[in-house]
Order: sequence, then structure tokens, then C-alpha cells
Amino acid sequence: MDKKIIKSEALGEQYSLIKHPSGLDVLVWKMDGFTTTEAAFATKYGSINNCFRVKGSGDFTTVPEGIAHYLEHKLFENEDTDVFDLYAATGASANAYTSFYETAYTFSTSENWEQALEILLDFVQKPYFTKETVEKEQGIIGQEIKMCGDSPERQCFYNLLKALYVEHPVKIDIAGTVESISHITPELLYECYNTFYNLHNMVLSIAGNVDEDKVIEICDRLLKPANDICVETKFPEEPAGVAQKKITAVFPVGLPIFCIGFKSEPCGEMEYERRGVLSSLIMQLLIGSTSPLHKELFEEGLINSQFGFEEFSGTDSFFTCIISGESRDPDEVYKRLCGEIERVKKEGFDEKRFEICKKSKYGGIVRALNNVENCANSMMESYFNGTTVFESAKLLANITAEDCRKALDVLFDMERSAISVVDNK
Amino acid sequence: MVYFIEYSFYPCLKAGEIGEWQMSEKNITNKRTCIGDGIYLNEIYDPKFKTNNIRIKFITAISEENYAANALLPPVLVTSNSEITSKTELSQKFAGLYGTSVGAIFDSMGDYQVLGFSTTPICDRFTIGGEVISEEVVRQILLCALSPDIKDGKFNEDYFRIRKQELMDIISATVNEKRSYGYMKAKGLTFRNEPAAVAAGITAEKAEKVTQEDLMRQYRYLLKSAHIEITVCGGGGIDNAVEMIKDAFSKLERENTEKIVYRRNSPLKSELENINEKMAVSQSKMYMSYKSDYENIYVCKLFSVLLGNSPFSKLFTNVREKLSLCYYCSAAYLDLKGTLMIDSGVEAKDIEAARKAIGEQIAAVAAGDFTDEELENTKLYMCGAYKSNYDSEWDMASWFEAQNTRGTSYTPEQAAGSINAVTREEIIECAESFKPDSIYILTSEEGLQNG
Repeated sequence: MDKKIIKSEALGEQYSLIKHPSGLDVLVWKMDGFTTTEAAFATKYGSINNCFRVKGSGDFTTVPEGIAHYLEHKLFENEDTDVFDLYAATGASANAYTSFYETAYTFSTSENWEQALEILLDFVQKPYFTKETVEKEQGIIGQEIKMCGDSPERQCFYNLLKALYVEHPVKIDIAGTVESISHITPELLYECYNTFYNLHNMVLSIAGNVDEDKVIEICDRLLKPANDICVETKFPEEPAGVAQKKITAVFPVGLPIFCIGFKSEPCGEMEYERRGVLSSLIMQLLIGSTSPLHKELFEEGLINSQFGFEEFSGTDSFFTCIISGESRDPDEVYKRLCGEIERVKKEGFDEKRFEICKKSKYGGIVRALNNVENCANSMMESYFNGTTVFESAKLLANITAEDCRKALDVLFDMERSAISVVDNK
Repeated sequence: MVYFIEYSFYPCLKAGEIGEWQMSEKNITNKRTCIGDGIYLNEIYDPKFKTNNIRIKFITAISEENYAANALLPPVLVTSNSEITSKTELSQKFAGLYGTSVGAIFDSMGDYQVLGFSTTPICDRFTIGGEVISEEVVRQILLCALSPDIKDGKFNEDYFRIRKQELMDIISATVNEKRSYGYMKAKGLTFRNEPAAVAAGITAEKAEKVTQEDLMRQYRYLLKSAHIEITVCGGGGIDNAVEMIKDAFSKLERENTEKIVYRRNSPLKSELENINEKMAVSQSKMYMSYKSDYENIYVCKLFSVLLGNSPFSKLFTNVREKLSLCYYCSAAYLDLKGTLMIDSGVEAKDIEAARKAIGEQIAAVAAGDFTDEELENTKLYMCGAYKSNYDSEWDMASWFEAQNTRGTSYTPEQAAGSINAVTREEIIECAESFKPDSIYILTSEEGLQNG
């Protein structure tokens, strides 16, 4: 069994990547002194993987929107029992989530982690879908979709994606619609399962109070060796430009809510990681609380403490920088932001502030290592992105203010930006 | 082996008195010191952490008159201080201290308001080159708390204006998130005429009326008379900074300090009350509250989790999974008010059926309709959740703060011991003691017709 130690001398941390003979890659991070164990058994399969095939197997299959999330719900029902009942006897808290690009089944526990791991590995490998159970789930997921429909923040976010992306399935809600999920059948669920829930397309990430040898022993017993396949997802050709520059929606809200997005070309692995660090530094420099623009907008009452920013991306698939908040005049915030980007493209960033923001970012990396759940998730995310948890700290050390200025052209192209607003009128 | 000293004298520590325990197995130390009249310093250290969470909290009785001024005070105080009078420069100062941000705290605990600041600097041993940052972080926070940006007896005029507008915006925006909006309104109904209900009646108009004089009066009052809890929890190595905190707070001139009685059970209404509020929502929100004077909070907590706070609880299994009546349906016990709140997201057409099904589940527990396995699994689930508090400096600080509100200092293991000692008969007795008090429903036109 191949094993690689992934280590950071500077941060004093390390974890193992073990290539299990079943085809599954296993990540283990033993964290001394911690009480809990956090595990995620995940597949590189999310809401955007709606058109796919196994490489060399013929035509692509197109499935209904929301099916990855639906499958996540249904996997918790085994033929003979409910998975939550099994977990109940261990004391573990189990959950699952579907994102745009991955689905993860998780547990957190301070007791009996070995039994919880056995349950996790077992149920995820045992799908059981019937016409009756699939139909029954439509009611619960339909309610989830309606609940999300009441959130103006969520509406604003998805509207932004609709404005930015012309064809890419990232613009579609992860849960799909009440109409789209009505087309889901047991046969389609099995097809998605058999394609994406292959161990070669998955990872097990486990951190905290854990013993590596014991993890491998449980994997040896429970993992069913899988054929080495390569899954291909077909994405439609996405134009460089946006679908529309502005999109608005009406909701009962206190103040207008806005999301401003800047779309850029997708990228993978190390470039993806580097771009993540760059975009986070750039947004901090451009509009973070230390910036002149933030000062101006705050003092003029154009933004408040709800103001924030994030990088929203999936490796090799989409990359967007999003700035969001509440404002009496979102259009003015957008205009000033674009003006500041133009100015910095010409004049560059202030070196002193750049060093402050770098230090701040480094502090954030250290803070993230304080949390078991975060460590388990970071191992999984970086694995799917083809990097490691400690890569961003190394990249950060070598990035300069000039690198940030140059990256503005790629990451903050005004022609590839849009604004979404939710207002009362 | 776990060592533990029960603070039988708590909360009556006097100035200079110290309560201390150490858990040798976990390498955790906990010390509570009275550093002034009604001022307590809690130090909890575990070397596995890479950060220290520092919280300064002023605790004061909720009153309608002072509520908005208290809400405005923390954001004004963290914006600038007497040394750095620009928000941007203060942000730069904290960003340069490895991204240490300072958050304003504004919360409630039963009938009390909690306001103050929280910050989490990384431990000095994790800075590049071993730079000492903890002392400067604490110095700046102490300036914000005790030496604010005041000129001619007034807080910085610009920041006062901006923060007040922001507070008004936040109050207006409570409607954005329907579940929390509904919860706030439900508390308003459940605790009507009690301090805990005040938040539900706060409007932007009331916030607008807060003056500089109101804010200054309230600030001086809090320094002089509020109960003050300071907590430092994390990887430690912060002794000098802690000395600075002790020194600064022990010099405060104090009088008429508030004597806090956290637990005040809410009286049961003579008749079940309903309020239905109409709003354009796709999914209705229903909150059902029940009240009891049952004394042992660990029995009540276990009952609430068995009923509706785990993925295998009565409400989840029956009301959501079997009957498909709610997308979510959970129970929470508010120990400081002796109240059980059941929070559900339900389709308008199903409101009546969900209400009936929830009532039936409570009746089922009161009738002993739960298995020993269900009870044991719930205990295991709760005990595991208690122990997980050890893995976050934030959760650990909150754990011991909650213990302080109960006049105890139980470790998670000790609280787990109390949970494990609960009998089946006690759960039945506890469930029987909860009586319906009120129902608040946020719904559409269709829901109003069905509800």
C-alpha cells in the first residue's frame, strides 16, 4: 500500500495519504489532544455533473437537475434499516451535503469512531432505490426547495450565477426544481451511483482522535475493490461574456441585497490553488476593511457590516470572485468598485497594506488548523483540487504585490462582471 | 483520571478569590478569579490550540428603555478608540496582528443582555519569527473598552451616526431570514411582559431615537454596575496580556453592581395563545412553546433531545420522516426560562396536521412510549456532543460561561454523568410537566385559511 506523508514544518502539522488497494485514496490526520473524530466519505460528483459518461463507454447521459442532491438523500435508506438508526447506537452525529462539485457523507463523534466509520463505509457502498421510496422523497426535497426559495440571500446568489453564466450548469440550483426532481427514477439514480460512486472517484478523509492503522484495517474489511474507471463530464461551451449585466428580484427585505460577480476562465490544480490565494488577497486589498474604498463606502453609508467577499470556484470548471452585502444603492457600490479596479490596474497596490494583508491571510491559515472538522474538510477539498492543505501557506510566502496587480486583468475583468439585486420594489 | 473541585462557593467569589481545577488527563487548566466587584476573569488553557479566544462581556438586565442603546454600544466601541480614531487604521492595526479581528457581541441570556467584544489572536508561538502580538491585541481591546474615542463628552460623531443607521438597517433586515425572524416573534409571544420579550418589539424607529447622551449614560452605567465576565480560552502563553486585563479592570470604580439571577422560569399563560402572521412565504414557520417548572435541567435537556433534537428523535422520525409533514421539526429547551420551543418548517396545507402530530409526540413521551434503546442512544448522543466542546476554544469558553449561569462548574464529563443518571421515570414525569403556552405561525394567505 503506497503511503505519502504530507507535512508542513512551519505549521508543525502532517497527515497521510494512503492509496488503498480497493482504489480508494484515504487521508488520515491524527490531531493530538483532540477528542472528536471527523470523517468525510466523498465523491467528486456534484450538481454540475449532469451530462456524463465513463470514458470509452459510448454516448453521454443527461440526467435531471438536482439528481446528485436527491441521490445523497436516498443513500441514507438501506434495504433493511435507516442509517440514522445505526449511527444512533454509536453516539455519532451523521450528516451529508451536496455542493456544485462534490457530495460528502460525514460523521462527527467523541465516542466509538471505529463503529461509526464502519457504518459510513458500509452504507455509502450499499444503494437501495425503489419506485416507492424515490417518490416519497419528492415531498421532503420539494419542501427543502420551497424553504430555500424564501431566502432572499440565496435568490440573490443564484440570480448572480444566472447573470454570469450563459450555459454552464453552475447557474442551476443544487437541489434542482420541484419539476426537475419529478423526473428522477430509481434507474437514473443507479446510473449516477454506478458512475460516480466508484472508489477511484472518491476519497475518505478522517481527522482528529483517530488511529491510522485501525482506519486501514476497517477499510481492508469493508471496501469493495472497484474497477479503475475515468468519469468524463461534458460541460457546454461557455462564452467568455456574461448572460446579462444586471438581474433584479423582488422580495420582502429590509435593505436591498446585492451580489457582484467577476467571472474568469476555469483552471486546475496548482494554478487553481495559486489563483485562490491571489483572489483572496486581491479582494482584501481592494475592498477589505483596511482599504480606502471600504472606508469611503462605509463612511458614506453605502455598505454596512454585512459586506463581504468570497472566491467561488470549482477546479477545471468555473471561477468567480463575489462581493456581496446590503446597500441603499447597490449600483453605486458596483460603479465605485469598478472605478477602484481601474485605478489599481494602473497604479498597483500599496506595498505596506499588501504586507499587512499577507500577514492577515497567514493568521487565517493558522486559525483554520484549530478545528478538526475544518481539517477533515480541507484534506478532502485539496485532494479533489489536486493539491494539499499546506500549499496555500507556501504559495502565500512567494506572492508579491505586483503579482496581485497583474492578476487583476484575469480575475477582475469588467466586461465579465454582473450585479444581482434583491429589493422590495 | 479526572480531577475536579466543585465551586460550592460560586458565584460568591470575592475580589481576589480564585477557584481552580486541572484535568491532568486532558492537560487542561481552568481558573476563575474575582478581580473586582462583580468582575470575573475565567482562564481556560489547553496547549493543543493555536489561538486564544478573548471575550469581554457586560451582562445587564434587559429593559425596553436601554435595549437599543445597549445594542448600539459594542459596534461603536469597536470602531475606533482614543489612540486610533480611524476605523480603517484600527482595522489595519488588527489585520497586521495576523488578521485578528474584533467582533462586537450583542446577545441575550434569559432576561439579561450580554454585550461586549470577542477576538481570537493566534498564539505568539505561531507568528512568523515568534513575534509577540498578544499584548498589543489586548492593549487595543482594552482601549476600545475602557478608553474609547470620546471628544467633548461624546463618542465619535461620524461613527455614532453610521453605526446607528446600521443598527436601524439590521433591525429592518430581520425579516430577510424567515426562520430567525419567526423565532424572535415567537419569543415575543411566549415571554410577553417579560424582559426576554423586549427584542421582538424593537423597531428601527426606536433605535433612531438613541442619542449620544443615552449612549454615554449607558456606557458609564455598564462600567460601574454591570456584571462583567472576561474569558481567555485557548492555547495560552498569554500571561502578560492577561495581567494587563486584570490590571485594567481591577481599577474600575464600581458601585451598585447588578446581582444576576439567570434562571427565571417564564409563567405559563392561563390559556393557550395563538398568533398567525401573514407574509409572502413559500414554506410556513410554526413555533410551539411549552413551559414547566421542572427543576433538574439535565432531565429537561434529555427530554428535549429525545423528543426533537437528534436525527433519530421522535419529531424527526415520525413528523418529518414517516408523515412527511415538516422539512425540519426540532425541539430546544431554554433552561433559563423553563421553556421548550418546537420549531418547524411546514407547508401551509399541513399546518394543522403538523400541530396535531407534534402534540401527539409529546403525549407519547409522557405516556412512556419510548424504548430503552431510544433513551440510551439519546444519552450517548448528548454525552458525545458535550465532550466535543473540548475541541474548540470557542465552544469550551461558551461551555464554562453556560456553567456560570447555572452556578456550577461541571466539566463535560460531569454533565454527561448527570445525563446518564436520568431515569425513564424522570423523563416521563418531566414530559408530563410541560404544558402548552403559545403557538406562533408565520404563513401565507393559504396558511391563514388552514391554520
